[in-house]
Amino acid sequence: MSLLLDELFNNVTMDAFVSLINLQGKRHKNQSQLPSKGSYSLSHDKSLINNSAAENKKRNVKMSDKDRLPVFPSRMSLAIFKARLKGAQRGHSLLKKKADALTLRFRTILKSIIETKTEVSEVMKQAQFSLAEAKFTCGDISHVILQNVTKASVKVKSKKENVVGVTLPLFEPYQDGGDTYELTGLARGGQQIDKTKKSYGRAITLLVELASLQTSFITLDEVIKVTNRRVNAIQHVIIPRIERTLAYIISELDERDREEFYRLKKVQEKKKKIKAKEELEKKKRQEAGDHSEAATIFDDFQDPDILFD
Amino acid sequence: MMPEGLTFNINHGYLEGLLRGFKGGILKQADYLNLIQCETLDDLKLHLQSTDYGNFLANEPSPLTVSVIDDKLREKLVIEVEHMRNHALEPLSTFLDYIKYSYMIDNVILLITGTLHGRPIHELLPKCHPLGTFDQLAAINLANTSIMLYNAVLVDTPLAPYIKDCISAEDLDEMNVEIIRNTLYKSYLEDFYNFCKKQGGATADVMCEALAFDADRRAFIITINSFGTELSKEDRMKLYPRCGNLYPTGLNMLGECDDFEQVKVVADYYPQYKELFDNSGINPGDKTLEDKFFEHEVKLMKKSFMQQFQFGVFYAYIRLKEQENRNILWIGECVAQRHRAKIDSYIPIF
Repeated sequence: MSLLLDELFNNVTMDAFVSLINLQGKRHKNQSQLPSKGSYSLSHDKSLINNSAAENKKRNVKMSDKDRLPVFPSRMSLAIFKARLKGAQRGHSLLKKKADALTLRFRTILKSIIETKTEVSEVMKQAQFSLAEAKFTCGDISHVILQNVTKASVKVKSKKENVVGVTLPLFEPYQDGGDTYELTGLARGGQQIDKTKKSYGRAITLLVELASLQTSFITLDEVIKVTNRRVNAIQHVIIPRIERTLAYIISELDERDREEFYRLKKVQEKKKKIKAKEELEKKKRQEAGDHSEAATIFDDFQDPDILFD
Repeated sequence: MMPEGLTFNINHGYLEGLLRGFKGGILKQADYLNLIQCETLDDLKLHLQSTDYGNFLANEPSPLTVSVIDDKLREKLVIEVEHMRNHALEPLSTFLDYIKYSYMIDNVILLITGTLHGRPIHELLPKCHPLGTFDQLAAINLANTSIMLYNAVLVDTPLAPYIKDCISAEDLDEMNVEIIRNTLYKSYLEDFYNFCKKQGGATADVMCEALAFDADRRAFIITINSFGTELSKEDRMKLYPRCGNLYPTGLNMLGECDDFEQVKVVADYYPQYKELFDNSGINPGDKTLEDKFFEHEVKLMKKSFMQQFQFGVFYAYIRLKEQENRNILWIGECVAQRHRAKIDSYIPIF
C-alpha cells in the first residue's frame, strides 16, 4: 500500500491514475498473448480440421483459380473427403459454441469493468480527499512515510482461470506483513491518517480488481477474434471448398460411369452388329445348301495335349 | 509589569512592532470568504494577490498545484522568521530558537529514518523543514550506522539534551520512530515550559498557558490514537508531556484509559477541555476533536496579542501563520479536487 500511496502523492490527479491502469493493461496485453498463443497451438493439435484448414489456407493461395483441392477423383478420395466434410462441420459447430461461450464471458466482464470503473473513480476521489484532510490536520506526512518504506505491504498474486480452454490471469491483492505505520501521526492526526490509509486500501483493492478484469478483457478479446476468424474460415472457405471438391469428385465419377456405360453400349452394339452379320452369312449359306453349323469348340474339339505329349 | 514595560523596548521593541505589523497581514474572515468562492487555483492566486501575500506566486508557471502553493507559503513564513531571528537579542533569540527546535525534531526524525533505511542523505536534506535546519544537519551524512549517528552527530545538535535524556544508541535501531519523535517532543515541551517560566512576567503568563495547552492536547490525542495499536500503557505514559494542566492527576487517569469514553470522563474534570469534547463528534458534518483543539489553540494565540512587552506574540504569530497555511492549502485542495462540500471547515483566525 505504501508504495502505491507514494505513487499517489506524486500523481495528484485521478486521470493520471486511470492512465496508469490503462498502461498496466497494455503491458498485460503483451504478456497475455503468450497463453493465448499456447491455447492456439493446443486446439491446433486437438482437431485435425484446424490443421488441414491451415494447410488448405496455404494451398488456397496457390490455386485460387479453381478453388478446390487437387485430388484424383476416385471412390477412395470421395470417402476421404466425405469424412473431411463431416469433421469440418463438427469443428465448425464446436468452435461456434466456444465463441459463444467466450462472448458470454466477455459481456459479463465488460459489465463488471464498467461498474468497477465508476466505483473506482468515486473511491479514488474519496481517498484523495481524505489525504487532503490528513494533510490539514497533521501537515505534510509524505516525507516521513516515504522514508519509512522498505517493502510493499500490499502485493499481488496471479492466479489462472480456465474459460473454455483460454487461461485468463486473475490478480489477487494480499497483505504482506503487518501494518508498520500504525503509530504515524500519534500526536496529531492519527485518526485522519488511519482514515486515509483505509480509503486508499479500498482503492487499491478495487484497482487490482480492475486490472485483473482489464487483462481478462484484452485476452478474451484476442481469443474471441481468433476463434471467430477460425469459425468464419471454416464456414466460408473450408467447407465450401470441400463441398466443391466433393462435387468435382462426384461429377468426375459420374462422368466416368457414363463413359463406361457408353463403352459397354458401344461394345454391345458392335457385338450385335457382328452377330447380325453372322446370322446373315449363316442364312446365306443355308440358302446355298450348306447346312453344316459353324464349327464350335465343343464339336470334336481335341484339346491338344501340349504339356504331357 | 512595570520594569518590563520600561526596558522591553530597548532590545525587543523593533521586533515586536514588526511582528504586530505582520499580524495585520493574517487573512481575515472576509478574505476567506473570497477564497472559498474560487473556481480554480488561478482564481485563488488572484485573490491571494490582493492580500498581504502580494505576488508571492507571480513567478510560478501556469499549471499551479497545491504543493507549489505549499512551498511558497512556507518560504514566506521562513523568510519572516529568519529575519526576526537575525535581529533578535537575548533572551528573545533563545526563545525563537526554542520555537525552531520543534521543527528540528521533525527533521532529525526524518534523517534518522532515512539513514536507517539507507537512503542517500542528499535526497533527504531538501525535504527537511527549512526552519529546522542547523549547522550539524549536513554532518549527518558522515554517519552510516545508528551508533555513529548517535555519537557523532545527534549529541552535537541543539537537541542533544533531549536526546541524551531519553534515548540510547541502541534505541535508535529498535524503537519506532514515532515513539522517538514523541519522546523528544515531550522533553522539548517540558524544557521550553521551564524556560518560559524562568522569564517570568507576562511572557510566563502567556507562554505557560499556550504550552500547557499544547502538552494537554498531545496527551489526549496520543491516548486516543494509541487505542488498538501495539503501544502499551506504560510506554504511552512515558510520552505524556508533564507540564500541562493535566499533570499529574489527569495524566494518571489518561494512562488507564482503554477507550474514547474513558478519555471523555477524564476531560470532564477540566472545564476548558470538557467543552471541546462535548462539541465534537465523528459523524459527518460534526467538527472533529482535532478541529476543536485547533480552534481552541487559535483562540489562545489570539489572546496572547492582548498583552504587550512579552515573547508570547512571536510564538502565537508562528502558530497562527501555520494554521493559516493549512487553511489556504485546505481551500486549495478543495478547489483543485472540486470537493466543495467541506470547503468551509477551515479554521478562521480573525
